[in-house]
Amino acid sequence: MNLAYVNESYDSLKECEIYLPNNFQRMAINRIETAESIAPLDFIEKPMRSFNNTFLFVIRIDNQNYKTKMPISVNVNFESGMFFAENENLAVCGTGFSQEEAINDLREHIIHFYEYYNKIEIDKLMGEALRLKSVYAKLFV
Amino acid sequence: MHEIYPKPPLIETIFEIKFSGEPSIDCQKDKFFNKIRKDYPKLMVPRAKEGVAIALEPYLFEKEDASYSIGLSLNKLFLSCKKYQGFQVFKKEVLRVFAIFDDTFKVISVLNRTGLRYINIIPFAREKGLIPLTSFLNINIALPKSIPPVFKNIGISFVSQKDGGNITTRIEPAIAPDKSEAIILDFDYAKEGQLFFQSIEQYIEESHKHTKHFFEELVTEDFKKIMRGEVI
Repeated sequence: MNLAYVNESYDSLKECEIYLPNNFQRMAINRIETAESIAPLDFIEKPMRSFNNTFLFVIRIDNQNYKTKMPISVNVNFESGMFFAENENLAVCGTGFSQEEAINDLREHIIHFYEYYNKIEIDKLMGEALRLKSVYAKLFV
Repeated sequence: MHEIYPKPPLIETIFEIKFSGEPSIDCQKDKFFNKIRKDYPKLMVPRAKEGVAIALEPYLFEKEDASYSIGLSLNKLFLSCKKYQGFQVFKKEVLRVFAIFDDTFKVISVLNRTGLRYINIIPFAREKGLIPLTSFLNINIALPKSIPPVFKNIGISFVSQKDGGNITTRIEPAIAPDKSEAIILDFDYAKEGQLFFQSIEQYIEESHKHTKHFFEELVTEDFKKIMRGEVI
């Protein structure tokens, strides 16, 4: 998805929150009263803030859903103008010009290796590849 | 006995009491500070904001490592924790700090409000441009058939009544400067009316019981796996 659409969705939400017809007063529901001075958005909007660890629960590729047995942890890093989404345990990495693009690329790589290790016979593998075959075999429900 | 998760999404926990404004608190913050400054040496004063009475904005006293802070103004006192090690540890510090407050000012016996707030931040990756809300939270929004119940963006706040208190829940996605995204899950269990300082322990216990129960039911089994560290 284009990043502009994501930003636009946040702007639309903000506009909806701000808009209130004349003669109406906002009720307190959109604010939390305990320690009002503490605003989670301040935490998120800090200049260096980044949520570089996220999780995948389902991978949807070509109209097929792959439900994970355990959530797949994804680390996202930004380097030299590119995003890298990786999972060390699965020895897989995706790249892209946005976080979402990198994660989508990672999803495709995970399915690719899942199918690859499922098909390949055990006697053709050794070392790390044997471990990966066992990990990928238990990846999805 | 509730399960204690090793990797909760919690970023801050706050317990606050509110009472009728008492000017002597405003005038004697130094006495309180002297009693806590060994543990809470950092002092932060509120900034003036347009339309907000500065006397109602809390002074903050913070630990050197910023793990805990105390907020104090003439009508409220709160303890905030950024490194939560379980409810019992948090409660112990609340009771210790609030006892120092009581010992210092000796003027507050009746409270207007108590609130226990848990702020959680849940990072997420979009799936085909949509927020995978139901992977993390057990929320089903019934919509007409023509509107798919999956969202590009969503903000929900609601207040529910729960055994002598109100629980306010706010669920709101947010975007960081580097465009990574997270869901803010903010709970606030409040008791209002005529409350008593001497019963604070009972109020915080009760607030925790309801908030924990609510949280346990709201988060999905998949997300509990993350909190337990059961991930690949």
